[in-house]
Amino acid sequence: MKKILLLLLITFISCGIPYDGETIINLKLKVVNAANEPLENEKAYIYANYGDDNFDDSTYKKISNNEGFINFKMFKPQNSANLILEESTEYLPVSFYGLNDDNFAGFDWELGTLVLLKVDEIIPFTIQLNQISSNKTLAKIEVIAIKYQPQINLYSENGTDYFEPELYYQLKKNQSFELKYQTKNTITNEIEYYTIPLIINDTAIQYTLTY
Amino acid sequence: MKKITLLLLFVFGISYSQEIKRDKIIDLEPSMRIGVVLPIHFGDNILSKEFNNNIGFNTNFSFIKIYDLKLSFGFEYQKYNETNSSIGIINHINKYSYSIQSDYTINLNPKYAIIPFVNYAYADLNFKNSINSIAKQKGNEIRIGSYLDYKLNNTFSMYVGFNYYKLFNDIKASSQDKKYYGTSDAFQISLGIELN
Repeated sequence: MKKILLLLLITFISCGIPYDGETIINLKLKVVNAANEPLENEKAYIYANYGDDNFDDSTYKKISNNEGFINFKMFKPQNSANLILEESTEYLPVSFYGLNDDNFAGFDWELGTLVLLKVDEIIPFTIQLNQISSNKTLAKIEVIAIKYQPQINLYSENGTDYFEPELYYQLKKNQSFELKYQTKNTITNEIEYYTIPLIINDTAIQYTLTY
Repeated sequence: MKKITLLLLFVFGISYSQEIKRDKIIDLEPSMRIGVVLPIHFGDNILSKEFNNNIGFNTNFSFIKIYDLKLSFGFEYQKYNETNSSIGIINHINKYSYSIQSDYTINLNPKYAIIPFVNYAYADLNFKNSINSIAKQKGNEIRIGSYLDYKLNNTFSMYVGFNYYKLFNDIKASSQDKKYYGTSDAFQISLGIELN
């Protein structure tokens, strides 16, 4: 019996530490609705890794105030951590990945303003690629719009050599937006920049991008 | 001859008296204090405003006396329970202090003595949820205070102590947070027995 208890204790007690107790940061996020009005009482929590298979999700839990702000005064995550906005009865859940030193500097970690959307407020926007020139490759695609992203990866801004275009988006209905893309000439290495203004209403759009 | 004898006696006398004096400079005098300690934190800092003080455990081992100053090593354990923390949902903080102390005995009468002391400690603070450690801090502590000893017999004495206590945690934060979360002041009351 003692051996079983000891084994259980070893199994459940983690050796790592999820937070750096010697660094205190202020993590800030504002949540608004599709009409840009602050959302109160939206629940968020921090999911932090112990450095092994264990995680902590009970130390940092907050709700947004009447101005829509969620402020975490917290020990800096030691490993990678996520901020999870819980699914409410109205709004779709969102998670921020990559809360660590690689993506922030100083003690104030600002996540900006996040538009929370409802299921009936979003509509698909799909890009169909149509390559007509063998000398051109697609270098970048960006959709500048109010869109729903269940997982916001904070590492995505750090460019990598490998580019896999994201072709499926869920956009807020009834908005004007821009599709920006870049093509690269494989012979001359010349990069061309394009901006396509578009409008989406209540109907899903499949856009054919020819390059 | 008398003069030579007197001179020899004088020289030996000086040597002898110097030996006695040298013996008194450093003396091995082991003793041990074991007791409980209650910190009362004050001021605008996290331990004062957001955590409850508990009775902790303190021990101190003296082994050497230089002139009348005793040197000792000590260990203290203190647990702080959360009331309403602004730094997360923390169940409690365990604080372990490893100290070096110097004290001086002033005998008031055969039974009572006052022992003023200064103490430096290295502290480990362990922030815990109900099971696991979630964050750790290292700190430095300084204590200045005094014991009042009551001698029960040649082996045992009882003591009460009172001291001022300052904690400096080496944290990285904004200047405002650094002060609030990284320092603390307290008065400590201790009670225990001393074994000589």
